[in-house]
Amino acid sequence: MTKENHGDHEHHNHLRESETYYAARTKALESLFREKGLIGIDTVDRVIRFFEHDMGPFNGAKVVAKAWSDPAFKARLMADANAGIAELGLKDGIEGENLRVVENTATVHNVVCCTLCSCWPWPLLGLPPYWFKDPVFRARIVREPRAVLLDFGVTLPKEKKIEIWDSSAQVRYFVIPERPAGTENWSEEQLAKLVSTEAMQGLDLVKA
Amino acid sequence: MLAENYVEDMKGGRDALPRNCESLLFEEPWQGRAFGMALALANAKAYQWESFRQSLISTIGNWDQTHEASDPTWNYYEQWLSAFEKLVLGSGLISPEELDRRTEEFRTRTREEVI
Repeated sequence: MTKENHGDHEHHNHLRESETYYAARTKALESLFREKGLIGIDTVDRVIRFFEHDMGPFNGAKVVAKAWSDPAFKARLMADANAGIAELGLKDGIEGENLRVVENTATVHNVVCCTLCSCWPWPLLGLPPYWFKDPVFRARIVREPRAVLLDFGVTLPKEKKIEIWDSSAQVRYFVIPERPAGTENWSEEQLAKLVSTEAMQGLDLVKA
Repeated sequence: MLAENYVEDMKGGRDALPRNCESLLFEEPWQGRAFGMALALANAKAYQWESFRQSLISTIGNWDQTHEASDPTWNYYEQWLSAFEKLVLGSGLISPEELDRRTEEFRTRTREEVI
């Protein structure tokens, strides 16, 4: 047995209690929808598997690497992001309908947020990381973007302009970060490995 | 869309931002089920995805209005589940009585069904 103080124990019991309620509630919902024939036995499993394995930040990183390596592709992507990702065989299913690509340059740094809820380009970035859904983040990124960027370890030159893009049902934004120096001869595969989820939302810089 | 346009709508404390940027899928298994169900029913055309989204936006909006932004009881998937329940109960896909009854059956383990 490990040592455990009383406070921790109570906290634990409380968590277990609410967990039991939510677990029972979601089971009840799923059970009823199966019974009504609205979903099959493994429908929910398949949805989860799809989001965990077929969609994810590796898709977005592939798009960024291609855009860095192929200016003509980048131009097409900037003009019509959905058509651009389709060229790479990426699907734009639920929550990826209206993508728009913004590019970080020497003079402009783009950051994406969603002040309404948590709109997120799922096909490119997978499920949103928890900080994107955090109300403090949502409030602060709009009010004091430089301070938030600093918390993420990103320091920008004073003269660089910061643009905040608010994703919504109509448009979900996706950032092409600046390509790091010294990667001129790198392959797309090598480049893609450098690109983080945060970088594709403007909260990280790509370093080689 | 520039930051200035949104500043006036913003509220919340100056609490430090969580620094761990690792993406987190689901903290508990039920969150994954709730997530998957909302999408599965939209795929099954039980409702429009946009209806779910609107339900989520208004649910989170209510939370934002009644809580400080730094309130530690914030849990995204509780909002998600609540938005989902409102939608499926409101559109009559299931009734509150059958949902409550079945929840109780799972809670008290009187129902033998593997989910």
